[in-house]
Amino acid sequence: MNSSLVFVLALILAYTGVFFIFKRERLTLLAGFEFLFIGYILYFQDFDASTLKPLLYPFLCWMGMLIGLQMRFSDLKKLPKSLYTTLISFTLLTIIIPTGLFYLIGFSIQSVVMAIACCSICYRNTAHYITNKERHSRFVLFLISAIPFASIIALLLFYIGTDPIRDIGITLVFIVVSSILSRALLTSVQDKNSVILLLIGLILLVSETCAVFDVSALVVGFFVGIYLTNTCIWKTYIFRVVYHNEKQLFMVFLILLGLMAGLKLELLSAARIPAVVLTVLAVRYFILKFNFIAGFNYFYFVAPGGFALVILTDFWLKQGGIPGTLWFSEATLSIVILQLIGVLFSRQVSQ
Amino acid sequence: MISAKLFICIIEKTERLNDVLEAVVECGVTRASIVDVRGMFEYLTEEIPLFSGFKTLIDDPHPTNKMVISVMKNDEKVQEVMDVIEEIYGDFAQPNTGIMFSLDINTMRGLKF
Repeated sequence: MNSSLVFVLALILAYTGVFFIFKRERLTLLAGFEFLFIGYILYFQDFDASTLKPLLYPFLCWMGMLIGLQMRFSDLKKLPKSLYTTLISFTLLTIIIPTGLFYLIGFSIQSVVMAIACCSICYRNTAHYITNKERHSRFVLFLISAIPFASIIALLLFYIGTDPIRDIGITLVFIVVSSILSRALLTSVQDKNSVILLLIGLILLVSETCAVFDVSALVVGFFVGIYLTNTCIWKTYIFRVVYHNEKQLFMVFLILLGLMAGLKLELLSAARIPAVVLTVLAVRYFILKFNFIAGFNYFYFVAPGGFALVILTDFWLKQGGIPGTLWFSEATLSIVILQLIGVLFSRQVSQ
Repeated sequence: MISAKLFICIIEKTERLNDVLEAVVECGVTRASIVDVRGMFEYLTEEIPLFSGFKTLIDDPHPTNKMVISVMKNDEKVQEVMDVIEEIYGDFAQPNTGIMFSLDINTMRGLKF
C-alpha cells in the first residue's frame, strides 16, 4: 500500500470517525483509542511504515505547543498555592512509586517514562462526569488539566538525567532558537491567514529539525508554546489555531502511531501488562486514600488519556522508533486497558 | 388576579448589564434580581477538550448570559422599561442580543406597590 494513500486514509478515518467517538451524551469504551487499533490493522498489512515516521514528530511538537500555550503566567498567578502543592505531591507520588514497581516487574530505563505516562489522567473522561462548577470540583479539574505541564517537565528532567551534556546543551539551544524565531516571525505578520500558514511551517520546521538532531519535539514545542503565549501579540489566535481540530488531529496521530509502532507480544513478557495495570490502579487508589482527589468516585481518575501515549511515543522515537518494540507494545496496551477500565467503570458508577 | 407582572430580560451582551440595570432604575423599578444563565444551543454545542482543559477552565465562559428578573406594577410599567432598555441596550430584534418578556402574576406576597 502506498504511504500517501495510507496518510489520506488516516485523515478521512479520523475526520469522519471522531463524530462517533466523542458524542456529548456518552464516550465510547476506549474514548478515542479505537483509532490505535486501526493503525495496528494497517501495520499487519504489506506496507513499509518507516516512510511515514517523520510524520509523527510534527504531531508531538503540536501537542507540546498546545500544552505550552495554556501556560500564561498571568493566569498561573491567579491559581491558589494549594493547587501547586497538590500537583507537585501528586506528580511525585505517581511517578516515584510506579517507577520502582515497574523496575521490579522487569522494565529497565523505560520504567521512568512509563511512570510519567501513567501519571496522566484523562481530562475528557473526568470532566464528562464531574459537571458541577463547585469550588472543589473546579480544583480537581484544574489539577487534572495541569498534570501534563508537570509530566513534560518531569520528562525533560529524565532526559537531562540520562544524557546531561546532550539534553542540557542541544535541547536548550533548540528551545531558545525555536522560541525566538517563532516569535519574531509571527510578530512580523499582519493578517490571520499568514499566522496559520506560518504556524504550520514553524511546527514542521521545528519538529523535523528536532527529529534530525534527536531532540524531543514534545519538549521543544512545549517551551515554544510557553514563550509564545506570554510574549506574542497573536497569542490568543495562535491558541485557537493550535486547539482547532485537536480531536481529529489526535486521531490521525493514533492511527499513524499504531501503524508505525506496531504490536509485538511474547507470552512471558505479556504477563507484565496486568502487573503494570494493577500497579497503576493501586497507586491511584493509594493517592485517593490520601485525600488528593477526595469526594469523587475513584474510577473517574483511572483512565490515563491520550497524553500518556504522547509521552511514551516521544521516548520511543528518541530510542530510534523501531517498529514492534516489545516494551512499547506492552506499555501502550497497558494504557489502553487502563483507559477501558476507567471509562467503563466511570460509566457504570455514574448511572 | 392582581395586575402585577413578572418581567424577565435575558441579555447576551453581559458587559452591558450595568446599562440595562440603570435603565430599569431610571423607570422607577428599584427591585430586581440578576441570575447567571446559559443558552440551550451553547450548552448543546459545548465540547470537552482533550488537551486544552486548563485553558477552558481558566477562561471558563459559563454562564455567559445574564437574566434580570423583576416584579412590576402593571403592563404599562413593563412597556416603559422595555422601551428604555431597548433605547440603551439596542434592538432586541437583532440576533444574539437577548430576549425580554413578561408574565401575569396570580398571587404575590412580600412586595407592595
